[in-house]
Amino acid sequence: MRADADTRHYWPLLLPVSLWSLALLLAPLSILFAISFFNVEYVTLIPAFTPDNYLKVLTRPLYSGLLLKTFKIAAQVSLCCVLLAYPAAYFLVHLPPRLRQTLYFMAIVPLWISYLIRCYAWKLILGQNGVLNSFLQWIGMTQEPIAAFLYSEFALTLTLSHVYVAFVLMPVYSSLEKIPRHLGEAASDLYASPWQRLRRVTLPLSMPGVVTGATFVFSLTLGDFVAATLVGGPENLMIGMVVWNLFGTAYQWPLGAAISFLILMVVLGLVSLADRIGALRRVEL
Amino acid sequence: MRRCFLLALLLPLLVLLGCQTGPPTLNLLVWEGYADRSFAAPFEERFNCKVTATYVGTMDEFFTKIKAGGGGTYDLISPSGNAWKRFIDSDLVEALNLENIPNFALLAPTFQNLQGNRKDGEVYGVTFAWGPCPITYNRDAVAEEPSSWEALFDRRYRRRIAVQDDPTTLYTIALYMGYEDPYNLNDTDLQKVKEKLLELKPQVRKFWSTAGELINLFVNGEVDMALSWPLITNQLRQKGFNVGEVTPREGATGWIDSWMIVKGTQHKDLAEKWINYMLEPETQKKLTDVTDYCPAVPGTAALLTPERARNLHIDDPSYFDQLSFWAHVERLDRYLEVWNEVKAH
Repeated sequence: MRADADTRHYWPLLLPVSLWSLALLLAPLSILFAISFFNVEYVTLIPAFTPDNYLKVLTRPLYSGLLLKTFKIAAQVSLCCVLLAYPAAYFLVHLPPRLRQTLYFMAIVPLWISYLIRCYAWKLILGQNGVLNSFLQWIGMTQEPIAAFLYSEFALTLTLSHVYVAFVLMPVYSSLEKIPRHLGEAASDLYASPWQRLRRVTLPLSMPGVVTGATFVFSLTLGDFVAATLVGGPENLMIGMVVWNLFGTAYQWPLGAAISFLILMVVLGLVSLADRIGALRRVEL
Repeated sequence: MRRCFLLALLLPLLVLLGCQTGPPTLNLLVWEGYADRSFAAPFEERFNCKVTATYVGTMDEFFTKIKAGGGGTYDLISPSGNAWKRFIDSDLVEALNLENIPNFALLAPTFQNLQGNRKDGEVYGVTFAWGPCPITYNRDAVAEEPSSWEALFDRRYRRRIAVQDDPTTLYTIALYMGYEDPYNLNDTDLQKVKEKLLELKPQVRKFWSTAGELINLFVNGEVDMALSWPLITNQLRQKGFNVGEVTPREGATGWIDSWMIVKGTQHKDLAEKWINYMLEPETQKKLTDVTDYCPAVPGTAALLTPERARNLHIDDPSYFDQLSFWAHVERLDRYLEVWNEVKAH
């Protein structure tokens, strides 16, 4: 009971952040939600309550196809991030504390660098006259520069994976760190091979971290349109780019809003699913 | 520690206050090149103000920024002819008092009498530059000068061309296919243009979205040929790049840019002074030095060599009539859908 009384004391502390989310998140989103049911005629929004925009998104191959294509890219990026971040986090956790702190810090330092700069850096690396092509030609592996490095799905996946990899590294690292060492020792005592130890003990216990990280990356990639514009090729249109131009001169705000909301629903669904998986997997230690 | 904290809180406040005082700032939202220091700096000096510019790459950016409430941020915009009607009908720009813009009389009669930037007898835009959307090409990679838009479809340049990431590319291809009014296509015609665009797509290395991006594509050896703007050719030439520009025999689309004052601006006076200043032949010359765009004031010719004046088509109605100028597209939503379908295919 005492704890409850204390909590009541602290409620006002929530005020700033509640106001913040109310004014800057909930209010604009509500307006956007309302607009997604409107009609538009030339330059005027006509308040209505029509599901047409949503129907259009789901039935036109242009929009539904692009949604699927974007999901595919997001899944690809999430997978790359997990494959890169998990071994790194596993390695970090087994280092002596001082070294571990330093390396962990270095791994997340790129988060401090602007997203745009990181995209442009990849343009310099992957271009026809870029670092990678020059190097490959210099060591004699290729004669001609390889054009497919840049402005391709490869470039897009690589850039987004690099940009978001730290979002997987952090939760995986912290979930691995929380696994008590003696569990591994106990497994070894019971004649588990290192591989079995990883598969039966470490992996399951670190799953919440993986799920959290992958969900982050998936959601962030779904809405991205900048990387696709900068390093993607003519084939790599993402749904975010379409939302962006629907909000342009053509003034198709209701349709753009409907797409945005469908994406938001998918993201929220995923987050709650991830939350549930995380809860199921969580083991009291 | 606490003092540090207070200071940290106060600092942004001081910065904000600092912005309130001092000379007024004129905020421009313009195409690249339209606020170059070579003419913005003398303006600042003459009228004791500051000029800041935000550059846009596509018409969408103009419309989105202003429509979403940019009136508080921007004073002046420089949209092209295909967006004028939407800005005026959306009540986003101010009717102009031409008495405050005496240099309007210097404009070529064609531009004084334009109807596209007027409504109900009121003038909403003052034209200051125009030009074509030509082919820009790398002379080292493209041996003979392309004479037709067909060159963009040449298999030798597969994955070596760039076109603008905007329905404006659709207008050019429609023109090449022989449609006289690319801005009023019906569904059947749009479908045909779409098929042609899908033929073009495997040739495309990158859909460019800003002039700066296309310049980099050329410099980094990513593309050999592009649907572009004269500004792009000019800046590449200034970088010493071996570049050529051509208006193919089927003609080209063209654009006319007008200054418009954003509704609700705090600096209407200053904005009018800017428009007037931009029509002085001296400024027109500086503008054309940066962009290679055609001046709208014929008097500019007196400041240029005869050859350059000829190249810029000053007072050259035959060239002007050869271009199909971007116009208001009634069915823009459908055009955009087709364009997105091409990109998504």
